[in-house]
Amino acid sequence: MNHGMKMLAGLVVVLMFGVLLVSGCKKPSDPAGADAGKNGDIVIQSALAEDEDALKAGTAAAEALKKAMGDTAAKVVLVTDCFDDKDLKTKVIEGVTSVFSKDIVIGFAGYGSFTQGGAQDTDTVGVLGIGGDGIDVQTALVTEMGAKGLSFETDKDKLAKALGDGARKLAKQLTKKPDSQLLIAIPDAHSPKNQMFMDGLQEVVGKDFPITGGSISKNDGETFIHYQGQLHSDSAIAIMLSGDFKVAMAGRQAKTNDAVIATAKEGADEALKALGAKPIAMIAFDCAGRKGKLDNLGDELKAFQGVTGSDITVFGCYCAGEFGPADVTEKKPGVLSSGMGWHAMITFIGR
Amino acid sequence: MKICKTAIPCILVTFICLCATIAKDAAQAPVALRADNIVVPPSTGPVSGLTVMNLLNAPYTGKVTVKLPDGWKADKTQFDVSLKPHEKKHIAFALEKAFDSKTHVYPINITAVGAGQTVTVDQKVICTTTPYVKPKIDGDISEWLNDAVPVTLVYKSKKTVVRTFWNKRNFCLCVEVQEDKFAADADAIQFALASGKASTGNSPDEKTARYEFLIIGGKCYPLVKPGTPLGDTQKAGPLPEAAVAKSVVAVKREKDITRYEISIPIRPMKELRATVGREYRFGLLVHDPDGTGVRDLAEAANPMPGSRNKYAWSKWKGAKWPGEKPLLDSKIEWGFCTSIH
Repeated sequence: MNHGMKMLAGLVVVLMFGVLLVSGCKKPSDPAGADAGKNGDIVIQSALAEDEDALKAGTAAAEALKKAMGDTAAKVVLVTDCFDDKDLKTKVIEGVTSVFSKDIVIGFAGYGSFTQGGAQDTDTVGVLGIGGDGIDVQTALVTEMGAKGLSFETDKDKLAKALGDGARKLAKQLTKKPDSQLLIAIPDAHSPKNQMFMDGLQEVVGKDFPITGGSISKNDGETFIHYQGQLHSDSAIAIMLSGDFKVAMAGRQAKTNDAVIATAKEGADEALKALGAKPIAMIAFDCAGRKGKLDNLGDELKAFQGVTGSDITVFGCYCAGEFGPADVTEKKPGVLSSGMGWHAMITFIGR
Repeated sequence: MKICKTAIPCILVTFICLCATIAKDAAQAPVALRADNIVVPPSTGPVSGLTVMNLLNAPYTGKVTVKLPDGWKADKTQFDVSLKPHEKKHIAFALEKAFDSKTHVYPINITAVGAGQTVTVDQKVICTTTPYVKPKIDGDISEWLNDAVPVTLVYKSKKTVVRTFWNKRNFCLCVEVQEDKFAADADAIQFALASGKASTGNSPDEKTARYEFLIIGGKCYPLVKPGTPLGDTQKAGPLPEAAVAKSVVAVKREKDITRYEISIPIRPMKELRATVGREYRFGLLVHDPDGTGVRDLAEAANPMPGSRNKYAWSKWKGAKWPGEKPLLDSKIEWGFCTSIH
């Protein structure tokens, strides 16, 4: 080896060492960086189980989800249940956490849910699993917001402060990264109170950031969310999704059977067209009131499926208020999501 | 010539009759108007509506305007209406902004301009909603006072207050009856539940679309279920031997008030398809034979003309029915909601 070659080899070694040194210096979980691997897998699956036995329903839904996720570990499992009282909800959580680690299980009381397998309400558990190298998941919880017992009619200012503060506290726990695409928020704040919560979220993440989600059930004895195995009332949860994928949203309002069915198709069509990518999943936060107007519970799901087909994941849940694009004539300029009622808030995720 | 002699009086009689009809039509209000009950708390922005009924023997064309309580907003408040003689039409509108009142009664003004007349109705619209609550059926009605919406009927100076709850297992009812005396073997509550689209037929061969129950002697008995010939409902048979399975009844008397608290399983009533936001039909009678006689809750719901129907309620042995005219239909619009808070 002559001198020139030795110099070149030495330079290569130094450069390689330098590269290793630089890459070694990068923080492994830099909150400002894009963590989710480009082109890494994104797995979003859902399952639904119905059983009068809450433990069995929770277990069955979780087992079905685990099977659907295949070899991909879920980073979060979002659970919605339609059972009475704290005891039965605890059983649902027991069932789900017998399959998944409680650290990734969060959820809320709803009025039913739907997947590609069907739509159900009473005594059901719906689960949504998100995992894969291509998607980064952050979750957050806020408790004791101070909104419990406050009335929209008589305590408007106090309520706006409690829900606004709660939402800000929740959103500040999450890092909005350059590749953050969607915030899912689920508060104990029935429509029309949910706009007060939305105002707080948007102060932190911006009015143009895609936010979807829904308000938990207001049925007596059911007003709970849960986070890592613990039940809470007067609380809210959130999931921030980041990565190399696309999100498109649409919202539709309806108050009659025919309009509910028609708007489900219209909204899903609009969101899918706006996605401009291959869809992976459709997530819908839907109004329990819309469900109440349906002559046949499955008709709205059929309308969604007319757009999604049967291959992509569908997860829908019925709520007491919804976050997403408002279907109103007087839209606020620059505002993407609002806290509404009577809406189906439809989000497509794809790449 | 003979034909002419007969024809002239005939023409005259027909002309006089025609004039009389026209004069009668001109004198009476051309339309009847009624705003729907509000079946979920108005602040949640539900669909509401009104009914217009042509009372004339001639077609009616007019404009109907709705004036909502202060601060409320609907997607539409003016409607063009064309009705055939005696036709009834329902007009829906969505409440976009509304507020709940502590009294649960809402002043709504409806005006119809047409057929040369202006008809105005000032209606106190009642909220007839059933929140999702699981009460303990024990005669203590305190949990009903904050969480239920009362519907009050005053009949012959005696008050009846009705409240409803539902949950995944049961339909629950609380009735406060003001009466001088309580007769355990004769005083009764009769109530009916039906789907939001149910109607009562007018001939004995048509079928019922309701579930009907009777509370008497501390028990709740089934009277009829959907699919029974209407004619059969008018045969006053004895009560069934068995009470409704898993029904619970508590009756308590305090001063001049008899309080009934009832729960019956909701799941067997599949036609109701109870869920948040769904409308259903409800009716209730108080049998107070030694006092006011039969009290009909539908009287509190601003009934339209023509709402009486002889097949509205099932007869049962021992009941004393008012003889003069049929009762109002047992299908007052009502709705399942999640909470009034």
